[in-house]
Amino acid sequence: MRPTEKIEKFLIKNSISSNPKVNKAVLNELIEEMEKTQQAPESLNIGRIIMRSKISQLAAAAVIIIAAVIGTSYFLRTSNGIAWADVIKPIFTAETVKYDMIIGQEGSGAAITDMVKGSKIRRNVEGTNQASIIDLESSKVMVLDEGTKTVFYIDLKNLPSIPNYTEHLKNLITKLENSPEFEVKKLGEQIIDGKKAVGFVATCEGIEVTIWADVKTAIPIRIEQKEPNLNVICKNYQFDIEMDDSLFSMEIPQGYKEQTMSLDLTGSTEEDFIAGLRMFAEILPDKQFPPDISIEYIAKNAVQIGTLIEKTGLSEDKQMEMGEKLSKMVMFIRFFNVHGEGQWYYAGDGVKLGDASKAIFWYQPKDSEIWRVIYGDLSVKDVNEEDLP
Amino acid sequence: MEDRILVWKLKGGSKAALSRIYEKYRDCLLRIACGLVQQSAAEDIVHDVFISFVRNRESFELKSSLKNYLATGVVNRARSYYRKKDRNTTIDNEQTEQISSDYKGPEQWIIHNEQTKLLNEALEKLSTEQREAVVLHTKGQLKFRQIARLQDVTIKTAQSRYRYGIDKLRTLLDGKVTL
Repeated sequence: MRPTEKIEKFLIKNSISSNPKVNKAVLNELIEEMEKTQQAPESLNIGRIIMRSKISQLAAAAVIIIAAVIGTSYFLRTSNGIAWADVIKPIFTAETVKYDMIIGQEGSGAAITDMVKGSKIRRNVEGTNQASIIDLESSKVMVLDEGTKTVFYIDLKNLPSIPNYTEHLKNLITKLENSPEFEVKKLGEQIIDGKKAVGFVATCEGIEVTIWADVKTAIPIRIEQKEPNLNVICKNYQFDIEMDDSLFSMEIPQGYKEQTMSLDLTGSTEEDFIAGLRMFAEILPDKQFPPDISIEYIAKNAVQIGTLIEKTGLSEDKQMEMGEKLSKMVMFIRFFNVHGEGQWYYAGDGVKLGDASKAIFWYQPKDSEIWRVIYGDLSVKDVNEEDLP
Repeated sequence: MEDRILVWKLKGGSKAALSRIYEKYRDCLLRIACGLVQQSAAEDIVHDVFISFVRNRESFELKSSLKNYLATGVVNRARSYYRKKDRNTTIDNEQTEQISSDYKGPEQWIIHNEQTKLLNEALEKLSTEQREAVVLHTKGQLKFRQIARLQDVTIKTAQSRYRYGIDKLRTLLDGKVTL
């Protein structure tokens, strides 16, 4: 061996090692730093999204729908009891409601302020210059961007029917009252958001709803909803406050320019869901399925997803199609109660598209004894409960 | 390709991805840093590179290799360290400010033996450019193309710096270590 080769070998061989205790301490510090600098979900920064391309506008529309549907179904899942009955009374009788909604964990989720009147919601997302008016009856969304003096009209074709906010709420509460699984527990008194409150936790069909209400007035102060794949917190409630109809007007304000787009949400069947999964894996590096497909995750990463779609370099029409597929995938998850029983399970993190050996998603279709299992090659099999992955 | 997935997951707030990146590149970066600067500064530099990476993860775009990106962070901080050291024969308070988030743990991070100590003393006697070329190629397994880009020179120059560095090390270590 030549002398230079010997010294090279010596350099490579002669190495340092690291102290495992310090390795762990530094990693913990990095994780802490990451949590400290975790940003609020970017996807809900409608302003930033809308200022970008058409496909990003589509992503924004999807996010608005997701959020709208969460807000609505959230209320629709509230329920009944003894003192509980007093607590939910304002929800039953209110003509108008205003509240702040957080999707995800408090402090890390995006804060949304909703004003609700009938089938219309006026929505402001924290840190943006926009107000969105969502009409659930006509499936139309209007986004007012004060910064650019632009109005975006989004036609949500075939949005699953949510005709009247209050009526749906009443119907669902009545339905839940009749459910044999429905159970309410009293949590006692606590100071919640600076007020003395009495708490109740209600469980039904795997959903846990906690309501904290003012001890004197029985008006809800805070409602927390936990589902297997979703956390929503609503607080700062105001019931029956004056809300002028102009706040919910879909008319274009003077001096604003207009842009329109439409998003077809017909179907959102299992096939649509699979098409969305395929598209998602195809745009990700190495054609792997995403780490998560929960609404929280998609909402949080909508900007990144939009960027990945743009990076495909496909035509604008093709990109729009991709955005639509993604929206339908989200709708399948959101309206899971329409398609399936209980909860769904996702295990696609790190699985490559085409890997037939790994199950990535399984759920039990509505009124079915068997489960549907979707694999990495996107094939689907009917599986008995005892044979689930 | 794994790094692209890890970066994507990290941007989504995955602790597992952060942990994987850290474990994958930690020792390599410590080896590079330790070959470029003295131990305490090397620990600070690697700590600082990881902290900065975590803080800037949202805007980070993976253009080449992640290892190359992190190694560049180490080299840039090492150069800055030497610039300061040249201005002040001893590292003063200003240096503490320059490496903004120094590791201040009670224990040493890098564990090395007597031969490594001798090797590091010899590396210190090389010119900065030669030392970088030798350390990045042998300790960081970087290709000459990557070293050349980092040093903003041609591949030939990077190779030549490496060769001269190795020759000099051979002379410096002759008889002191068992080759």
